[in-house]
Amino acid sequence: MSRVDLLPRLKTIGVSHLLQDSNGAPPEPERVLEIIGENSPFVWFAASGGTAGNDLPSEFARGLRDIASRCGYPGENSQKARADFDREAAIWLGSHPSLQSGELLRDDVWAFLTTALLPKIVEWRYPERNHERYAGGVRNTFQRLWMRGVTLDLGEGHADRWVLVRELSEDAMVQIFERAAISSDARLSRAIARSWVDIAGLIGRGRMEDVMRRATIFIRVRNQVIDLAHLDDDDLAAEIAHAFNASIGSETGN
Amino acid sequence: MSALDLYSEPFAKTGNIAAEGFRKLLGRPAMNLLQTVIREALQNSLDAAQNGDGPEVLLRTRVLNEDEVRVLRSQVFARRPEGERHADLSEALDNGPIRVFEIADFGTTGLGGPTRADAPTDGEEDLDFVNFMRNVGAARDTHQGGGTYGYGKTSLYALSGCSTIFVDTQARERGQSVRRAMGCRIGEAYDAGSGSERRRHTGRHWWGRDDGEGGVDPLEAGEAVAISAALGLPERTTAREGTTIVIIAPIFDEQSDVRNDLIETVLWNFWPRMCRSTAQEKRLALRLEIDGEVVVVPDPEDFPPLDLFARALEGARHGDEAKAITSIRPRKHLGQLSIRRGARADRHVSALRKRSVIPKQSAHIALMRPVELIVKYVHGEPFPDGRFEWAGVFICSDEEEVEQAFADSEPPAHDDWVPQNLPTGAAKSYVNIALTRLSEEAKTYANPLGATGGGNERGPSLASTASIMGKLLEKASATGPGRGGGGSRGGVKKLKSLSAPRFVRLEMADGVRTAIFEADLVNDKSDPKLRIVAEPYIVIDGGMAAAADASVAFDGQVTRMALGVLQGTSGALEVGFNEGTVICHVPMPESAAVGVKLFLKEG
Amino acid sequence: MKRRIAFPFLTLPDEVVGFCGWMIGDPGQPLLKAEDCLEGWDYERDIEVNARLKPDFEAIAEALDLNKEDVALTVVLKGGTGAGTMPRRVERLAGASLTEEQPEVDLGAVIGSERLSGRLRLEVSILLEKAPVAPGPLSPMLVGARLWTDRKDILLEDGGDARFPIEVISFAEAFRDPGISFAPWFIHWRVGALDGDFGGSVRVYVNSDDLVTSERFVNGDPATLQAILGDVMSQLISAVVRMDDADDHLAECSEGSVGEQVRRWMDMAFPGRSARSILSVLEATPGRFHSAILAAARVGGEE
Repeated sequence: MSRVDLLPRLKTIGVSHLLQDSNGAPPEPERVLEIIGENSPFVWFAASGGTAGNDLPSEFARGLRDIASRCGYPGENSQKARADFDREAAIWLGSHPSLQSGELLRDDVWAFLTTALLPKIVEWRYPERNHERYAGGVRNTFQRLWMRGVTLDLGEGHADRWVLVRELSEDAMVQIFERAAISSDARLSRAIARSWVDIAGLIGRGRMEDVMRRATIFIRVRNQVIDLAHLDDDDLAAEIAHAFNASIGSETGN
Repeated sequence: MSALDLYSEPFAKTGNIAAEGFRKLLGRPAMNLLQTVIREALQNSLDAAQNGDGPEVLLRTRVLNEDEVRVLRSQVFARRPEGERHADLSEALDNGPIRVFEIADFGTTGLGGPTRADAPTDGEEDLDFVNFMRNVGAARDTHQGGGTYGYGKTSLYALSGCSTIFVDTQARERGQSVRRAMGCRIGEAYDAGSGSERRRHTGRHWWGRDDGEGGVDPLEAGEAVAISAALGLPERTTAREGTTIVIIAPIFDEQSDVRNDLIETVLWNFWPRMCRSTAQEKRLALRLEIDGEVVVVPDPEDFPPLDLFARALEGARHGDEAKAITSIRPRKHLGQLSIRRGARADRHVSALRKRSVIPKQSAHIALMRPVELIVKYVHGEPFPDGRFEWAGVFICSDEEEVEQAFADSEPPAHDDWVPQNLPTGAAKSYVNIALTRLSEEAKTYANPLGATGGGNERGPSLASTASIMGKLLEKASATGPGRGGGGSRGGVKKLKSLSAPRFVRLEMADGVRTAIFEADLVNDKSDPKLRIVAEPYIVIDGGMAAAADASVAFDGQVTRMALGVLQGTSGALEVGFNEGTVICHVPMPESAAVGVKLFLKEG
Repeated sequence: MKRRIAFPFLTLPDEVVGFCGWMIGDPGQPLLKAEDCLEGWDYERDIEVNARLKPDFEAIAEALDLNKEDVALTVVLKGGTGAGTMPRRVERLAGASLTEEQPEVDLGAVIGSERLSGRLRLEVSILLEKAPVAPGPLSPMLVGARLWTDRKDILLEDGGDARFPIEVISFAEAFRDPGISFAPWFIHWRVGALDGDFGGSVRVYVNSDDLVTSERFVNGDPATLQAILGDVMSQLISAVVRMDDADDHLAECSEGSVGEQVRRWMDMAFPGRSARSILSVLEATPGRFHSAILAAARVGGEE
């Protein structure tokens, strides 16, 4: 195992400063440097445990900027362009070998990468400029995509490694990744995603939003009393299918 | 050969020590009897080692064959003491087979010197024979040696079912080789004789050859060789000097397993002298024979946890990863402590028994002087992780003043360091300070942080503050009103309050799976129409389902509520001025967890 | 452990499980009892953990209303990491079956630290392994049924991921507003964001320029912490109870959110009262309102 690349961490209050000072608009690079330049009280690194001062942040910024450009940034801002970006960025983040360490589970790391390095892309992706898209957390512009990538990756040997990332709707992603009880268990997340693809093929994507929402609730209720992670693949798939069927059943019942 | 002569010692006008008193000299036994015997006998053997090589010791149990029994009965102990109180002797000698336990050493000086206590001495010659066979409690004059005769040997008699031993020794007197054999018994005091001849006897008896003065001397030369050979004792020549002690009819505990008792006793008490790294001149070569079977005694290195002790001993000897134990005032280096730790290795088969003296998880410091005989072990705190153990060795400094202090603090059995044995002064402080420091080390080695208070050296870390403040998160509502503002703390008037509900049990009620909850109501009696409302909810992700998730229908309703005599069959109960424990019955869905939310509703 | 929720089947009380506590340390070294934080951790220091159970099998069978032969259970050890009330990533570390023949279950694992982040949440559970043949009416039936669980949350890195989000910084450097720079502490939170994760949304900053307060704070002085926590609770509770439909808003908040936490604090300071009735306390007797909260904010000290 190579050493962990330590990444800069931006404190919550630093995020607020950057956004406040620019009146809601993404901060200009000069502003960013002014606020979080050298000796900033808002940026810090882990004291030990890896290599700081690596090229990873700039590589990260370059990689995502390239993807955004291919998807139309900064000129084109259609829904399709944004969806393309989400998909491609999730795959890139999920497969980057240096982005697998515990550093990437830290909100303050994402706050830095997002607010300090790529605020313009955030504005392009989310013109409404919500604070939560800059700050670290499950709704951070890039952190959410990274979670999708690393979790839904079916592995290098798989014939269609990124099928789940490509196929799932935004709403389905949110149902999985904004619920730590599900997203913390990668196998469970993938099982639900697979079921989603199967069911969507049967009943059409249009009906899936409601069906998925109820199904994930059924699954979470069930997971409270039985440990779904303990089931083998077949039983788990059956359990998930059962939840989707129950969800479809209650839909027609209404 | 004619039967041996017997001398039974009467009380002298000047007074002897009676045998009971003699046996009591042994003092409180810190160890069981077999251990005491082994410690004393081996300590003596090590002390008596001739310069150059360490001694060889044979421990042997056996049952005498017919010829040997005949010799023992008709020659050695043919003459018996007069009077009563000797039943134990005939019990042991005259009925059935006779077992013996032999402790034989070779390459030692044997029991030399004069054979009579009243022989004049020039102060040059050793008095080993006299001290061992005749006198009691005389300090043995080996420079910084470990043993004394006198006290320890009483244990030899105590181990015999008839308080009787037989001794064969190949030694020197005034430079000449001598061979001696003698029997000895230390029984109870008794009266014997009749009329004016009736006298009180001390209980001590010797079997040997009449010395013509009313006493007995040991058998010597050819006669001693012959009787020893006839009894089957280990062969001796002038080149194999040393002593064989035969304990007649040893009392081994019924349940005890002599073989393993001996192995672990010898190793636990003498391992520093048996390690592969022990210098030749200090090394104890031990052979063990149990009823005809030669038993292999493992090296300490192959007998966990002694492997760790052996490593610690190396460290203490060379000051390698060792800690100096020092006294500040007076400033003095007191010795080296070395501790080694490791994975807890599987025990040797002989140490697996329930009553084994070998600790299951070592957390001990072995105390010794540079002579490397174990005085005792200080018990410490074991690692909380049962897969690991530690072992320490402390060797006091060999500086004369320091070593003498420790030596002088030892009781006759050499099994402790007792500062109270010393007069007030530097020596006493040395021993006191060392023992205190060692006991601290033993207590804290396994968990150094916990013992020193941990947080003292913590710098600006916020971790502990964050944890304290974190108590207010998560668990908060589960702690009930006790800590909340609703109580009567600070003289504030009692407020109405209801604790968080607790789940009590699950039961079948009228065929329905039902959960019982309860909560505590404190009432300020200000509202005669006070009601409690209960709303069950489905648990998701450890908590209450959000409204967004409420599309998962849960139509569960509380089926029963009660407070004392008040009863209700719905989710609301009018309680008025009552207070106490509220009980709430909630029917359970098939595969979901359920909680209940309780509210106070004012009327 | 007092339980707040009911399961639809019989579960195991702590007494029958015989859990010996969490052990933690460096791989291959003696493990120590796990504390709330592990000093000196970084990505290069792997961690070994261990959990041991000495279950009373007979009592387990009785608690589950099953014959002993019908009891098939598994013990599972999991490790979770990453910020948030629930860990962001959970992995199974070890498992073993719990049988009558085995008087002790010892579960241990070495965790590669490069995959850890900020905290380690350990969980050991006893699960149903096989559906029983002759169950009682309340016996667990489903494979994987959670019958008993114990958790331990261990902080790995200071400051950034502390259990209560706190930080000591120089206000002179951090705030350009001179009005704030002399305050002993500052509570960072945003009105209305009730659904955000508490750990990511609320943060207490203590002014390192104020030597007395910051030192007391770092040393965990109970009175200082009570004052600060009381302020946090007062600010949040006041804002929440003033919202229209506060109770409904709160009911919508999920586990670990700001709203959920505020709801619990309201329960502590004003047990059994609705947001509306707490608002009336705030408006009618503000002194009592704040004192009740301060009293509820007591931590540390004699506990």
